[in-house]
Amino acid sequence: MQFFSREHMKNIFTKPTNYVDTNKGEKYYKSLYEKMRKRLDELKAMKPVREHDIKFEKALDMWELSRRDFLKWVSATTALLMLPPTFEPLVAEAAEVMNRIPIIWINIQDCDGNSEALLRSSAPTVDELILDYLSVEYHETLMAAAGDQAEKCLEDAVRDFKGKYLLFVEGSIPVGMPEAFTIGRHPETGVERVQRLAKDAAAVIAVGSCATFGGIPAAYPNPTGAVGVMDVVKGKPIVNIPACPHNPANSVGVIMHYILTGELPELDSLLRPKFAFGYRIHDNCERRAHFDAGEYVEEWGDEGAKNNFCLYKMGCKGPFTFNNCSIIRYNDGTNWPIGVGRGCIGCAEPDFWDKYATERPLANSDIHPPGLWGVEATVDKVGLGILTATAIGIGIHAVASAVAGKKEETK
Amino acid sequence: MVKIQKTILSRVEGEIELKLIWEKGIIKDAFIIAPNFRGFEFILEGKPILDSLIITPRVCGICGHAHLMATVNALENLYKNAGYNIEISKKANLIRLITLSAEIVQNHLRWFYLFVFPDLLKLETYTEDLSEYIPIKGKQWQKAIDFSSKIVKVIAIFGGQWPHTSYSIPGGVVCDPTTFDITESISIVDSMIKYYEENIIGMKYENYLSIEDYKEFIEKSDKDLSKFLKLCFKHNLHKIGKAYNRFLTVSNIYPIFSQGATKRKKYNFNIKKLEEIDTYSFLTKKGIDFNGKKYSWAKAVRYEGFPYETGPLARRINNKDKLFLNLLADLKDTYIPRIWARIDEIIKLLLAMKKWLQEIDIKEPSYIKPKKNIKELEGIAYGLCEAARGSLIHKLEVKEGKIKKYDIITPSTWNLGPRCEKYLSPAEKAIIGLDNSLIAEMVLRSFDVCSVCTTH
Ligand code: SF4
Ligand code: SF4
Repeated sequence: MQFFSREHMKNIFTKPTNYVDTNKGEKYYKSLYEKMRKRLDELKAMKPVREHDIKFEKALDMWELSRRDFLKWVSATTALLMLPPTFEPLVAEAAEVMNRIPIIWINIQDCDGNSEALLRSSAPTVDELILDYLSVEYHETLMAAAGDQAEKCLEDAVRDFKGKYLLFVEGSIPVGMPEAFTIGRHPETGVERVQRLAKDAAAVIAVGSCATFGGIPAAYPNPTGAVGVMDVVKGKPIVNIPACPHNPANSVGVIMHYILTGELPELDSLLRPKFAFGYRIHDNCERRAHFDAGEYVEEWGDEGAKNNFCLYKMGCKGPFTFNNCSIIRYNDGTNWPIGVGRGCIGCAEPDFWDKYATERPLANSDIHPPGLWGVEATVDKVGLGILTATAIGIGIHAVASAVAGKKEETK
Repeated sequence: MVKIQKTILSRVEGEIELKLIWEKGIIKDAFIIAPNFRGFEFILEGKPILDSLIITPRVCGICGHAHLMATVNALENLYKNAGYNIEISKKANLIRLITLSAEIVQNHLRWFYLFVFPDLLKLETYTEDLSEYIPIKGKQWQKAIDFSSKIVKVIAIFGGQWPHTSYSIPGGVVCDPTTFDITESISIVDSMIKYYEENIIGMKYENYLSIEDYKEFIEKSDKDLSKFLKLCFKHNLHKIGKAYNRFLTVSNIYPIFSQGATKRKKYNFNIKKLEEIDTYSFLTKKGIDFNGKKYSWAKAVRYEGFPYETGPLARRINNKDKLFLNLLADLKDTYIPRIWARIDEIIKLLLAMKKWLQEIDIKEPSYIKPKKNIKELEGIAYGLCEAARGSLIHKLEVKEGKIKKYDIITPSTWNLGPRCEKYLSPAEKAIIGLDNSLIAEMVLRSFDVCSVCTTH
C-alpha cells in the first residue's frame, strides 16, 4: 500500500507512469482464471448479506430484463476490465453472487452528481439491477429510510459487516473548516465520519474528482480546506475513481473486480484503476484522425467545427487526460463532451479546475502534461504505441461494439 | 413544556436538518438548517471569465444544466450592459430550451417517485397495497428511474453528458446536431409522453389539459397522480403546508413560464427589488461567522422585503393556469397544489420540447461570434433562469478580464433559506403549527429540497 503527499503526487503526475500493461501472456490469464474460479466458488458457498435476498434470476425478471440484455452487459463489463472474452462466464457468475458484498455509500462535500450518474447508468438497466441486487446497505439518496432511521441503518451495517463492506465516498472533506460539513444528531464532521467508517471497511473507494483529489471545493483558494479521501484515511486500501462526474461503469467495474478476485484492481500512481485510467482520452478519440492530419477547429462555429475537426486548439485536454470516456461515453453511451464539439477539460486529473479547466490550449500554457518530451510529438508516439497493444485492442473493440449494440437496441 | 427535536432529512440531494421546537404537541417554531458548504463564490473570484462555464454547473448534480444556462445568460447580459449587441440564432436558443426542459422533467419525475411516494408509504403502513411504489423493488419506482434516465439522453445528444454539461457558450451552442439526432430526441420525447399518459395521468394529455378542477380529475383517473391525491385527502394532507401565498418567477419561457411576482395580483419582476439578508447565515458580507443565532449556510432572500415562494407552483400561478388558480382558491398554497404543480409541469414541458425539436432548422448557425472579445468587457451582469425547483439568479461582476465577484441565488435559497428579522422562509412558515414530525418532513420535501444548491 502506498500513500502520497500532495506534492509528491503532483510530481508523479508529470511522469509517464500510467500506461497499462495489457499483453500479459497466456500463462498469466490461465492462472488468473483459476484464481477467479476458486474465489467464485468460495463466494457461492457463502450466504447472501441479507437472508431474505432474492435470487438473481428473479431479480432479472422483476426489472423486466432478458437473459440476453444481461449477457450483453457481461461482455461489455468483461471488456471494460480488459479481460479476454473467455472470462465472460466468470463475470456472469460474479454478477450473480454480488449480494455477498455489502456496500456503504456516503456523501460529504458533494453535488450528488456521482450518485446521479450511477442512477443514470446503462439501459437496459442492468446496472440498476446490480444496484438493487448488490447489497447497498446505506445510500442517502436511494434508500427508503430517512433521518434517524437512516442513521440507524448505517450503524447497523457497520456493526454487522465489520471488516467486510466496501465504503464508497462521494465528495471532498473540509479539513480546513470542519464546520463546513457536519451531520447527524450528534454532529460529526466530515473527517470524523470518513475515518470512522473507513476503519471497519474492507476497502475505500473514492468516486468523483472531489473525493479523489479534492475537486472543485479544493480549487484555489480552497475556502474550506477541502482534500480527498486519501489525504485523511490511512492504513486502508483506497481506490480513486476520478472524473466529474465519474463514469458509473468504472465503479461497477471495481466492484466486479473485487468480487472476481477478492482484491482491488491494479492501480496507477494516483491510485486509479488501470483498466479505466490506463490510457488517454486522445488515444481513442473519434476526432483523432483530424488531429493526426492537422485539421483543427480554430474558432467555435467555424467550418472545422461543422466537420468535427480536432478540438486541441480550442483547449481540449484529451492528450493529457487518462480516462476511458472516449470509449464508454456517458448516459448509456449516448454521447460525450467531445462528441458535441466541446473539448475535454481533464476532469480525471488532479487540480484540473486551476490548471486544466480553462479554454486555453495547453500548448500555450506552462503546464507540463504527463507526456514525455513535449506536447505534439508525445501525443502521437504514445498514442500509436498503445493502440497496437493486442489485449487493449480487444478490450476497446469489445466495449465499443457492446456500447454500439446497446444504442441499436434503444432505437 | 418546550421540547426541541432535531431531525436530519436525508433522501435529498445532500442533507438538510430540520430543528423543531414543540410546545404542547404542536410545532411552535421550525429552523431549516443547511449544514454543508463548499464556497463556490470564493472559488470563482479571480478566475478567467469563461472558467465560470465549467465551474458553475458543478454547483449541483441535479440542476447543473440550469446553472450553465444562468451563467451563459449572465455572460450575454454582460455584453448587453457594456453596449454590445449579442446575437443568438433561433436554433441555438431552441436547443438551450430543449435541454433545460429535459433536466426539469427528469427532476420532477424522479422526485415524485423517489422522494414523495416513500413518505406516503409510511403513512399507509399495511392499510393498502402500494407495493408498486416501494423504493428499488417497486415497478413504478423502477419505471420512474428508467424514464428519467431516458429523457436525460436528450441532454446528452446535444450537450455531451448529464450531469455537468458545458456545451453552451456566449453566442450560442457548440453542438451541430444532425437530423438523426433530432429524430432520436423526438422519439424519446414521444415515449415519455406515452409513459406519462399511461402511468401518471391515466388519460390522453388533451383530456388532462382541459381539466380545471381536482374533483373532476380524481373521478376520471385511477393512475399514479390520482392515487396520490386520493391518499392525500385520506390523510388530510389538503390542509397542511400553507406558506405565504406569494409567488415569484424570474424568467419567461413562452408559452409555459411567465415572469412575474404575484401576491394576490401579478406584477412585473424587477431585479432591483431583490435583497439578500445574512442575519441568520454563517456566510456574511464580512466573512464567515458562527456566532449567536446564526444557523444556516444559506442566506435569506427577499423581494420588496417579503419572502416569496418560487418553483413550479409559482410558475403555474404566474402563468395564470386555470387548474392551479382553482386549486389555489380551493386548497390554498398547500402540500397538494405544490406537488401537483411539479407533476403537471412535466407534460407541459414535454409537449413544448416536441414542438421546439420540430422547429429546429439545422441549416442555421449554432454559434454567432460576438463582436467583441469577452476578455475586454467589464461591468455587472445578471443571469436569470428557471430551474427545476424555481428561479435561479447569477450575479456577476467582471474587471480586467477576471471575475471580480460572483453571487448565486438558488431556488432553494428562496424557499428553504433561513429567516430574516421579520419573516420566516416559506418552508419554515409552512411547517409551524403541525403536530407530527413526519408530516413536517413531508411539507419540507414538498418544496423539493436540494441542500447542495442551497449552500453551494
Ligand atoms: S467531482 Fe464533480 S460530480 Fe463529483 S461531487 Fe465533485 S463537483 Fe460533483
Ligand atoms: S486533442 Fe482532443 S479532440 Fe483532438 S483528437 Fe485529442 S482528444 Fe480528440
